[in-house]
Amino acid sequence: MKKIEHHNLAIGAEAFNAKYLEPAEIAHGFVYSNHFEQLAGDYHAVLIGPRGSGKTTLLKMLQPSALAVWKGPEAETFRATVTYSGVFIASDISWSKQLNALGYGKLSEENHRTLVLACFTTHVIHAVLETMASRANSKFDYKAVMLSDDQEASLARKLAIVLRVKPEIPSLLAVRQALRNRLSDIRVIANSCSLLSHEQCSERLASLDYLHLDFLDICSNICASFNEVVNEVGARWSLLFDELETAPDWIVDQLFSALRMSDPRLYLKLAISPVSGTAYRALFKHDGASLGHDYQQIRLWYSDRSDSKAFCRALWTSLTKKHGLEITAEEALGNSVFEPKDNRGARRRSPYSPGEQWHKVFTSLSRKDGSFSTFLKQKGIDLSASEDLWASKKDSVLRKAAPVAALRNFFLHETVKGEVDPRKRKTLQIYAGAESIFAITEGNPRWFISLVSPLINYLVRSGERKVPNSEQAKEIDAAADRLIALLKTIPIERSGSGDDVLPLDVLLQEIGDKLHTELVEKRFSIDPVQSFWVDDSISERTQALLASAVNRGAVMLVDDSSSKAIVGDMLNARLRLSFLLAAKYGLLLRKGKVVRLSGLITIPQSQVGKSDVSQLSFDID
Amino acid sequence: MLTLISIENDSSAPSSNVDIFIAACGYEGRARAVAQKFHLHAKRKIALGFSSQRELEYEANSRWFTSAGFDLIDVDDHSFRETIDKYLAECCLGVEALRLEVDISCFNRFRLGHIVDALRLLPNQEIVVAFRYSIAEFTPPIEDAAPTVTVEPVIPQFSGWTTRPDKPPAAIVGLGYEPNKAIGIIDHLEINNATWAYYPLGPIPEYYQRVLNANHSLLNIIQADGRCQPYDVSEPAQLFHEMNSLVDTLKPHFNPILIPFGPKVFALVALLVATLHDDVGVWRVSSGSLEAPVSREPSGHVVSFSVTFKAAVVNRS
Repeated sequence: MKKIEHHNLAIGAEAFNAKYLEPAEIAHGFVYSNHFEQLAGDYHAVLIGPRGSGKTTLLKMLQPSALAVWKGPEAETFRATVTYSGVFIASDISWSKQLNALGYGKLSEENHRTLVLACFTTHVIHAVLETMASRANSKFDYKAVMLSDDQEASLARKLAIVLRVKPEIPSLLAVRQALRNRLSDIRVIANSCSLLSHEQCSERLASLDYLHLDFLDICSNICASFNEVVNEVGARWSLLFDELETAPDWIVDQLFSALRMSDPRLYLKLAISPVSGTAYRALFKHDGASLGHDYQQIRLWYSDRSDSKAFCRALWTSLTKKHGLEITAEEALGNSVFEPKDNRGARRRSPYSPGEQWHKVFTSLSRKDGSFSTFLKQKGIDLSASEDLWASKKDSVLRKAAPVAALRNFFLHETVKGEVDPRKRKTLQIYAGAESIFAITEGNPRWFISLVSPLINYLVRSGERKVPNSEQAKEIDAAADRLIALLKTIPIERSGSGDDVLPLDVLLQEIGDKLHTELVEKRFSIDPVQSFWVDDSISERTQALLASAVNRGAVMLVDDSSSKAIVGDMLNARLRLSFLLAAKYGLLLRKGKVVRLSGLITIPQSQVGKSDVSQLSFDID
Repeated sequence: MLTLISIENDSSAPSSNVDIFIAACGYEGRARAVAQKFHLHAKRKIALGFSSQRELEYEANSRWFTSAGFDLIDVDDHSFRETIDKYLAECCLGVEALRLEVDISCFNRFRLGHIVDALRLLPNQEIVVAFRYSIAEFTPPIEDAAPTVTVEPVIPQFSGWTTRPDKPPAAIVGLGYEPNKAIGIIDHLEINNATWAYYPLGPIPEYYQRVLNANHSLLNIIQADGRCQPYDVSEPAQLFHEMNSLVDTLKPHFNPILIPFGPKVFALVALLVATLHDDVGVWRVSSGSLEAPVSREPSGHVVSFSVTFKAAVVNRS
């Protein structure tokens, strides 16, 4: 049997996840956006976005080793203005579960918390020391420092005292190693404590002073020591906390509360998913940090498709260049059928004129869709009449009606006998085209790279200049299936009382199917319902699942209010399915009108009666 | 704590001198297939049943285990560890080198984790365990899959413990035939393409193509880089050595996580590898009792391998 290639460990510069990339690789592939400028300033910041929205990349770009090698046109400006040293602090689900398992569930909550906090503190300090070492070893000018052997030894001794470690030799490397050993020690303590009573364990933990360091205080302290040794007294540092949604709630609370009063020598840049009850409570309590005054917030998702276009184009250019291609997205992917624009150059004919694409769509639909025909009549449009008679309605009516008409025309099938049926969705070809692909990725870089890379590979492999719509549809479908597979892993909470909620993938499909039916099979509407708000008939457990979906980017918040970048819970939130799922379920790629969620899904019988949800009405908000 | 010092594929002949035989009494037709063939020479025999899903072949299996002299103990997952610890403690007293047989065919991954952890914590100087696994006849995956209720380390003792939380995770996945289940958990853990996968080859050929089809999306991402290879279900010792070597290779760069789908034998091998690597976790994705029971019938193929644990051996991790 062939063995797995052990040597092939490189994840590649186009990795879908920035956590696998070194600072130089991040800088090399970095596509600048205004978000970076908003994040980089001299203040605390909260970076909010669902998975894959680029939080890790933006934070990692603030490390000195990334800024030092960045070659983009904006690079010099940022090297001049970012005067603090950014310390990237990684986190992930598996580490979070390891922390959770400390003591095998046999420790009291308080003792467990003491040990977890000690691990977290150790991890943060280790990251600070990594940044110190990287600055001392840097080959580049930016943020490089010269540290003689004596200076390093002096610094290491100071750090050892403050951190209560005993490095084998006085060096930064040895102090870091001692911190790693501390993590091993903490686990041993946890294991042995699991055999003691809670009181005995508490006594033991109380006697170990290194378990009780305050991580913000200690970071401030050691950064000051470093500044002193390298003659940068007063220089600032920034702690860049990634994936805080995986951290324990009480650490999240501590960090978000610290935005108000933390040490001025340290800026906190906190990355978190959009729905976090703990962060929300910490920020919006009466003495919480004040937006715009104590901190800035950067929202990394787009509630409407038009906002993400520029970023998607830049990302497209970056990816195609890496493959040696010079080709626009429109050339490679074609135009979206949802974009009724004239691309006929010198002819300059309206796309709605007789003989043109949209005239054919409207004519075809009005033949098989009585409600569309009625709609046109009501608007005073007779497509068979001279264009002059209805040309004035092009923008006010036809342009707006075009996407809905295109979808209905695609899905309503006329048999040879003239019967019209909604056909099953066997292909997503209607979602091909540059603007649709851009919309479907939501401007989420991970999704964009994941969806677009196979399409670019097709161009490279085939030598062609256009990716067939069928190929685009196949990749959209695969990406949607992958997202649904992820949703299936989100655990449902079992109540045991017989009113178990629908699994998330089933719930979202039910929503998608209902919206599709309304869009395609019911009366034609120029602005159909495509989003929903979470009303109080929705159980808390379903709301929790929806929060997970928002944090994973499967469902998007469509409230444009800047104060609502972080939400505490889902009640009354206005949501839409991500455009990737919208494509999968045959919906429009826009947010549309809103309806209450309880009108879209089947409420379990056990919950009926808690509120009036027996009528599946479409109450438009 | 005992350390795994050797692992080898075993003969399918019954062992002559067995202190304890451990089996699971569940609802599958294959639950007693191994015991019927191998239990005769065991001094003590225990069949661990379940407190739920006592349906399909459960009654027939429990009647057989009782008639064959097994101590039949029905126990829920919550009490499983306590039960197995108590039973083993009674049996291992005064025995320097304990010999066990464990039929893993119908234990869930949670129970397998506890069995391996309980064995390595026994006070004996040496234990030799013959693990046996009855390969089932082909049954197609359930189309309407039950929802997930658990995504976590199989048990806290197999969470792994890294001293480098700054390193990114990597997944070593055993592929099963449930569509897109592996890529779902990999995306859940945000591991993406830092994934190495094994797919099973064995005497029941129907599984092979099903597994590849079910994992098409994942294979598209990793296959070109040579990160997906077959393993022979009948040769767990070889799988152990390969997986152990892969873990060793990945550890300097990543925090590896083992995610066993597919045959139980892969899950057991993952747990055994994790006993050598304190920093490596083993995860499970489970629907618990929401999963519809299916009676998997024995194919007649039994995989056997022998593992020796010894006290006071240098920790390799």
